[in-house]
Amino acid sequence: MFKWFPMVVIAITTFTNHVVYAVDLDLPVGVELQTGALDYVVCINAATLNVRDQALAKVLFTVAKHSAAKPVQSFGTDRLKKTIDGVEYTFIKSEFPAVTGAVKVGWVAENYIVTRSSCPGANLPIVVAPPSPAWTFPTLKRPSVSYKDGMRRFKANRSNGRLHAACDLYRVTGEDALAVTAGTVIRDKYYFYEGTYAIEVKHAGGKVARYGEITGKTAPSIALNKSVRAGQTLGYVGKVNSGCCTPMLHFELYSGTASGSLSQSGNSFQRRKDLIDPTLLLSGWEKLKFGTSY
Amino acid sequence: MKKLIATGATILLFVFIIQYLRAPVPSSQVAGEIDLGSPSVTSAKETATPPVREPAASVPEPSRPLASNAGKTPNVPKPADSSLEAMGHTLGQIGQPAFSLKGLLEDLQRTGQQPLVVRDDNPDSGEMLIVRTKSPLPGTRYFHAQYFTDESGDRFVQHMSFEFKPGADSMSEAIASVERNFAGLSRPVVQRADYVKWKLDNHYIVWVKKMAAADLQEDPFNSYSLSDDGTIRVAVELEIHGE
Repeated sequence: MFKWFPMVVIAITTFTNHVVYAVDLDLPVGVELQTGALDYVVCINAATLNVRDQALAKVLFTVAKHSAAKPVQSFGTDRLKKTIDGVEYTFIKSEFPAVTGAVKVGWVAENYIVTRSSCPGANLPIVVAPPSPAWTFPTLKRPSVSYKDGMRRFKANRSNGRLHAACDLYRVTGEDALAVTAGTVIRDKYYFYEGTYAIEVKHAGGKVARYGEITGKTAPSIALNKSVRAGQTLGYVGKVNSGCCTPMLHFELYSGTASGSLSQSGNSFQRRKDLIDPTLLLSGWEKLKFGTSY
Repeated sequence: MKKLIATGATILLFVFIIQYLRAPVPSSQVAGEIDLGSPSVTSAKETATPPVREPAASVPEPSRPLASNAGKTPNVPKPADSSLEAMGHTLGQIGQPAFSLKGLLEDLQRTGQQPLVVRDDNPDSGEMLIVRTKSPLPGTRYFHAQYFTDESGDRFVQHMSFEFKPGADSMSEAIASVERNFAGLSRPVVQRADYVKWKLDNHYIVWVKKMAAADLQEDPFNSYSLSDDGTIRVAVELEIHGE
């Protein structure tokens, strides 16, 4: 009886694919595990979900199934309980960015807000970009200074023996950061460095690029698993908190022959072993786009 | 002879009892006694006014350090900043070799924060684990940790942060908390009224930022309103640039 118990647990958690308990991650018992990006949606069987006021008495507005949601935390208790039709629900506060009205925040039953990947039918299908011969420089205008010199260049010295794993393309805050060629977004924005973000794209031909130090602003039609075309805006050039440097696009490129996280420990770049020097490629794209290169 | 042995045994027993009484309480025992978190769920029927946004001053008295810190923290935090101190301690463990994902989660569970792990992986750039909490300590919120996996299969922190309530002294309290919780911290490499950054010895940086309205816009994970201007964020990250 007991020897079958772990298999039953695995079967149940695999079947539900939502709020599973750790099987292969060695998480402490009771820690909730969800899959996919940290991208919450409304997940219900009905077409819409009621969003209530703080007293949970009045419906403020409704949101459509699979609408984006952002749970709100406000330095205090953000969870309430209410019994409806004999069933006790825990309510959480959430923002619904796509709502057109002035009020975008309200209270909903916690069970109905889950990650997109955990919600049947809500996941965006993976779109593989068609091969494209087109490659382009990833900023709208030429960098204000050369990315082949100084601290901006690939392999420039950093502290503690580390080497710079990217070319830093100095531009202005908020300017578009562009896809160097067609590809698919494999990791949507995440916290990267001092208040900036990064996005990862698998490009046609297998190369993987990390576009770092961009702002948190989402570019049109950019999301996990979405395909992009050469020159499409992926995000916007950002600036780190310290103001150490001119706003930039931090551009890293990988051949795609290795697997695992792009950031690593244990080598001088602190990066995956298929990291490549993008300088010559950038130089070629720069010349093609602007007629000249550094 | 027998009397001598009996006397010796008595002395040894006495010494043992004294040593036992003086020994620090094992963390596993302390853990069960401490509840730093406020009740994570409030009954709607019980509350005359909405319970949202409790001031940190009304935080239940935690008065003792986190279990993993028990027995070694000389300065017991004051109630008003105990949540900040607990979270500062969590981030401050980044330099300790034994600081694992599991240890982090256990710490967050022990303090009643209800951690949640989101596993984001793909065949081309591997796995990123995100840790969030559902029931942050009063006065703090939006704990967020990103873990990557190195080639030997070990997970490591790439980013870990939390936010602290806005207030006249919040920035200085957060800075003081970092200074207390990061062992061997050198002088800041950047020091402005709204931003302080230190370099750690292990490829990490730690920073404290008083967030202006512009900093709070377009965050892909967190929701903000106008009243959040002045929120303090404390973060530890892998370093990218030097100064």
